[in-house]
Amino acid sequence: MVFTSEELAGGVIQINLDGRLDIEGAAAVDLKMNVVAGSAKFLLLDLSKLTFLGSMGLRSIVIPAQTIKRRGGKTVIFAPTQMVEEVLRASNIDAIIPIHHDLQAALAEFAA
Amino acid sequence: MSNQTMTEDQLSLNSQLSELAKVWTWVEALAAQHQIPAKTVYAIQLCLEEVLSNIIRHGYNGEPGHSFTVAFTPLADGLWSFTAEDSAPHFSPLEEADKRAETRHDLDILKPGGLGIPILKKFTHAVSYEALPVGNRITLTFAARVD
Repeated sequence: MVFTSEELAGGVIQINLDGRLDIEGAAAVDLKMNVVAGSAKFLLLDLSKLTFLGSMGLRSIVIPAQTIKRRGGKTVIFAPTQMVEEVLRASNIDAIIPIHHDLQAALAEFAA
Repeated sequence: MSNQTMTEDQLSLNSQLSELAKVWTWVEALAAQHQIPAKTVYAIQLCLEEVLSNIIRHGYNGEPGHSFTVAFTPLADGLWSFTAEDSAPHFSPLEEADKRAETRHDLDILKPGGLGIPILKKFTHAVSYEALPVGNRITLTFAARVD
């Protein structure tokens, strides 16, 4: 699991997850995700290179999103692959964390 | 040589999360041997991660030194089943799912630990639980996914 992050305009922090977010992957990124969530207000999660998302990986997404929301911020998921998106929708995550495949639409969520 | 070796139909695991890495390679080998489609392999790995990690984290409370098994059975009509058996205290993940269902619509109250059970219902063809005299048996059945 490869984790990278970058700051975009408007104070948006983009996290890119590349690889398998299974138990092992979750263990590798949880601390980094939580560190970012500790200070970010707007978090864009780029899942375009995520090849597997398991239930432990869902925790790695939900917990930072909860942290950010409690501070009045927002998390948006960008460009998940088909099977990863199926997992997100089966878990009803899409009802509480918006999913977009268009970057401009994703970024517009933060201005809403 | 390895491509010609029949994969064992049962895997014995110790109650440590690091053991699950063995499952992924085992499933990949079974998939190659039985021509299981890639999307079905994804579903199998997804659901086995949920079930087997629950056995380790909740059934055995994260204590190493316990063992459990997962067995593969090819069924008729393009179905495949995986059966996990442990000797942990009785725990039906399906009943637990019903209790948690009402908390899934609000990020503030969402319980991350309850996210896996809807996945079982979505990504399996069938799922069943049986309380054994000692332990638990959960059987996951998968159909070919080609969509």
